[in-house]
Amino acid sequence: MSESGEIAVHADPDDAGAWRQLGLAAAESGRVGEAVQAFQRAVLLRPTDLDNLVDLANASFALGRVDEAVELLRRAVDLSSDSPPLLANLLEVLTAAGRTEAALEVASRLVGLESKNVRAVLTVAELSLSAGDNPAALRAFTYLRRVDDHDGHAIYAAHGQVTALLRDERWRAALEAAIDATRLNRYQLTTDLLSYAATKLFGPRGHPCRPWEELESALAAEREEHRRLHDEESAA
Amino acid sequence: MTSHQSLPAGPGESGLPNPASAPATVAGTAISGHSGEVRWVKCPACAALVYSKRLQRTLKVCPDCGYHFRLGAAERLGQLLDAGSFQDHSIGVESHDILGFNDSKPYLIRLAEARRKTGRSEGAVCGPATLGGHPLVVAAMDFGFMGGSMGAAVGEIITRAAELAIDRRLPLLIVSASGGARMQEGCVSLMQMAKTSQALARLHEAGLLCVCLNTDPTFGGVTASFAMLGDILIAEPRSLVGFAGPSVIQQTIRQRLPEGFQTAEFLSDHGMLDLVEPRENLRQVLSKILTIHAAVGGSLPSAGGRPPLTSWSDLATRHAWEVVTAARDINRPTTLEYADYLFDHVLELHGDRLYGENPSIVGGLAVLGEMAVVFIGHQKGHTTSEMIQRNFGMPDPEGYRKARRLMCYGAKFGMPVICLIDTPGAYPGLEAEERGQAVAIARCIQTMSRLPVPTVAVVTGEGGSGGALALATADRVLMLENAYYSVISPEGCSTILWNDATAAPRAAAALRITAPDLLRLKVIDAVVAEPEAGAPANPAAAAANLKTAIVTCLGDLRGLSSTELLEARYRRFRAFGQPGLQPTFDPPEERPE
Repeated sequence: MSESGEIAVHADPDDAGAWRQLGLAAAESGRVGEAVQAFQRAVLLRPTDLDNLVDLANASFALGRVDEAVELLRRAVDLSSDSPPLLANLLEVLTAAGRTEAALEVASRLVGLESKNVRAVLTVAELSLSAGDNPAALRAFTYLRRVDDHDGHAIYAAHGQVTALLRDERWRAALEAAIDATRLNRYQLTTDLLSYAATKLFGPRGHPCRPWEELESALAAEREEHRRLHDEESAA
Repeated sequence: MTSHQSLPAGPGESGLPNPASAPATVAGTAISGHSGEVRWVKCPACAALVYSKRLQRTLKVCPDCGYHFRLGAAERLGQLLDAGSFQDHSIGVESHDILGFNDSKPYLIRLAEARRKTGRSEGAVCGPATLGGHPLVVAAMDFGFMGGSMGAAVGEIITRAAELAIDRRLPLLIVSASGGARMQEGCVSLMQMAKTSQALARLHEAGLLCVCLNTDPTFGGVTASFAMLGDILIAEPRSLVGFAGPSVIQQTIRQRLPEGFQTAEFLSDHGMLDLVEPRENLRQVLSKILTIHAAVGGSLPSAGGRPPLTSWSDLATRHAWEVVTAARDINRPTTLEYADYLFDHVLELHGDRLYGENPSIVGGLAVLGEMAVVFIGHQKGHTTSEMIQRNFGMPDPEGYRKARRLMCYGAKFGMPVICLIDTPGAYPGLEAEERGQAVAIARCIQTMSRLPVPTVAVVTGEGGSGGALALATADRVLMLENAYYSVISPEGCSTILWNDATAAPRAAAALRITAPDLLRLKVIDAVVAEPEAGAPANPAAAAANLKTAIVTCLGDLRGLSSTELLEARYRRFRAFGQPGLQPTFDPPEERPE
């Protein structure tokens, strides 16, 4: 622990601020375990301090203590009356921990508060798709297409729309959405989706048609790429 | 299953929030606390949460997985340059809506948003600065500004940087991060590729250094112009650098791309980069490059080794096969080991800029005493795995292309070129032939013969035929005492002429491949003595003698003009085989067995 921080907490072990500073110094040095201990003392002393709760939550998550992190962040969100940054933090933790249903619920709350939050909308779309809620996924991808104004990103949302429609076996709507996607690009995946929807609607017509499993795999890779682009941009 | 009704229902349906009127938010993996201060950041690569100040300490490299976070131009320059040294010469250079472009929103609105988001007026910045105390001109792109796209203003800033470097005769460092040309400026953005490339051509013609640091991501028209035109190309680990984007390529060729496609490591393996350097090393490496360049034309050291032997009669006569065996000793010092003994500030460079990186030939920049030099050499190893990794010192064409590139580097900057030769020969393989082994060797020989700088070649072990000569068309050619230099391997010769590989010792003697014989034939100019037990027994002593020999040669040559160097070199090789100029041996009966 940092020398000045140690002196401060020795001088006054009930000083939550001193414990917090000690925790931050430990986190800065990469000693996350020590940071968690210090933040825990700070939270004990000042249980409604949002910064303490959030730092303890994130440090705990960094140590792999997902349940503790989620509980602390939920408490912070409640105390803050749904602060969007805290909801976003909770969403990141839930998503990283693979807690789909809870993440979907939080992402939806976040979109309700911040309708232009692209990553939250993207999360709703992706998680709805993975949860099998294709109508919700369709709505989310449709909306995403309007709010994600990064150059070249429209195709990701367009493919998401087609995916949701195909999964719901709405062949005609899927074909129309696939035709619409060809206005964005005519690369392989777009034309494959078009071909698949046309085959499903009209039967085989001699054009090549990739199996759905292959298309699903390519679409999943594309969604991963879309997520990565947003992650990288956000992290920068 | 819950349907989440906070989202719009679909196209044309009612109840949609209006994106245009919604409040702007900053959200994402930079996790803000309640107060809005970013304190924890999620790594996009490994999803680890990292305390933001910890991340600052690690120069924004994930401490868990090594992912290099993207940096803005200001942050990048802050990491690389001496504090407070940068003077912005790009103020006032701004994009204009040349085409009256409007997609989903007018270009002017996009520009205004980018300016608000990044706090800068354009996607690049340039100006003079110092790095490690060395003056230079630097230009840096900002990917956060419209994806680092190159429009007229970015092209102007890069061009100004090159012109400023020419005007002040300073090295230029360009830090690139870009998705490519800016579509919103149409062909005017395309023309920036020509504008910047010609500016760098002028910089090249002026004999000035250009270092390109390509960061994640660098693509399209930027990669296909100034970002790849530096004398030295560097990239950060795992950064993506390429021409067409990977998803475009994948969808075009309809094949899954290999793991790591278009990463810095991929490019390095394919000969496109000199160095892949972690962020923590970048400032040090750039400083080293500038230090080496500051030593161009510097003074030679005094050397304490034994002087080179120039009279063949002073040399002990040993059987050629004994010498061949000694030359092939797996423990003989390698080029990189000699480089560490001979030079300071050794910086190995890589890649042929065409196809691959060949580890059988190494080379780079270094300082001999206080003089910047280029060193090139064949590289073997001391263990089986090292030998396999270096292909037993038998280069592919990429090795010779790299060597030629480095020779040209020395010529451009006035650095003497020192070559250390230790190869059984160029690799005689199918793919080597397909990729132009003969052409690569021929061009190496030709280029070296016309380098306008002093050149010294030393055969330190095996001097196998054309694969050795490619690095030995030098002003001074030396051999270590236990080295051999031959038109063909003794085994190859004995098989062809005696129909018997076991006659190799006889062939070795007949070919006159030892240092005394070749000194007598004037193929070499001097012999570098080895310690009594040979170079492997005492590499430091062997290197000291080698250093003395090189310093002696360079001392003789450095006073000559490039015209005099070229003329003397021409005469040196022109004389071989000329009656009256070419020494000969006595009749066969006097020859040693």
